[in-house]
Amino acid sequence: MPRKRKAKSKEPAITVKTTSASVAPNISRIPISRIPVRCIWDSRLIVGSDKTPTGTRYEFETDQIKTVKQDDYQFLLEMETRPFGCCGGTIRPQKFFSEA
Amino acid sequence: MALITGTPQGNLIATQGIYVDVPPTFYFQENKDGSDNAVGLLNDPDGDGFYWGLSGTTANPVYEGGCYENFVFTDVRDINMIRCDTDGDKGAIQRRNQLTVTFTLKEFFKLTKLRHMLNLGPVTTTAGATEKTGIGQIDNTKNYYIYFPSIYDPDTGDYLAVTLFNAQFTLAWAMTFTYAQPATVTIQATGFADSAKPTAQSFGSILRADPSAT
Repeated sequence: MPRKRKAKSKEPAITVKTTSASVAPNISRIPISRIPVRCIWDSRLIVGSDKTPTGTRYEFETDQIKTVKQDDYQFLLEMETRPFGCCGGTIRPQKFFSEA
Repeated sequence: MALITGTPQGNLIATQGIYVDVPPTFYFQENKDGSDNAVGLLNDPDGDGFYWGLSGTTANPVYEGGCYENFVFTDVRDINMIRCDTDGDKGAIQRRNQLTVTFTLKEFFKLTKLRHMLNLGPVTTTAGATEKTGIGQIDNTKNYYIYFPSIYDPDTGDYLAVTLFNAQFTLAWAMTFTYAQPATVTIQATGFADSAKPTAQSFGSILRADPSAT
C-alpha cells in the first residue's frame, strides 16, 4: 500500500512539467525589436527624449554602435539639421548609419 | 626668351610662366585615433614613395578650415654662418625646425572644428539644440595632419597641395570683434618633423598635380 501512494504522488509532478511550456508567455517580458545604428556625428551626440518618436533619450559617442527601438530607427537615420552656410546651402549632415 | 647676349650656355631649364593665383583651402585631421593608432594619409605612401593627401573617417574626420584672410605658409629654420677669421663667411649650417601656417579665420562653426584650432575641450551636441565645449587645459597629445591645396587652373583641375604630417595649433588666440565686420581669430598651425616618415619628407610634402608639369 505505501508503494501505491508513492507512485501516485509522483504523477502530478510529471504532468506539471509537460504542460509548463504551453503556459501563455508574459507579454511584458518580450523584448521590443531593436535595430543597431552607428553614430557618425563628430562629437558626443545626445538625442533628447522630446525628439524621438518613442520618447527615448539616446546618447552616442562618435562611431559608437547602439541598438535603438524600431520606431526610433528610421527617425534617427533621417534626422536632419537645418541647412547651414552663408548662402542657403542645403547640406544636411547625416548623423547615423544603419548597422542592420 | 633667350637674350641676344648673356644667356647661359649649356642645359637651361626655362620657367613655365604659370601663376598660383588662388589661395589654398585649409584642411586638417587628427593623425591618431582614440586608441593612439596612426591614421593613414590618403597616399601612405603612393607608388613613388610620397606621403600626401587626407582621407577622413568617422572617428577621424577631415575638417575644412573655412573662410579666412591672410594665409601665410612659413619655413622656420636656424641659420648659422660658418665664419672664419681669415676668410669671413664660407657657408652656412641650416636646420629646418618647423613649418608654420597662419591665417585669420572668419568662419567659426562648427564648434567641433573650432575646438581643435583653439585647443578647447571635447564637444557635446544635443540634437536640434546646442553644441557645447569647455575651455580647460590644453591637450598636448593632439597632433594633426595639415593639408592645403590650391587649384590654380579650375578648367583643368591643376593644383598645388601641401601636406604636413605632424602639426599642432600653437597660437594663444585673440578673438576680435570689430564693428560691422565678421569676428575673426588668428590661427597658427606649426608643422613639426615626423620621425616615422622618410628623412627627405619628415615635415611634409608638396604635390603639383598638373599634366603640363611633365
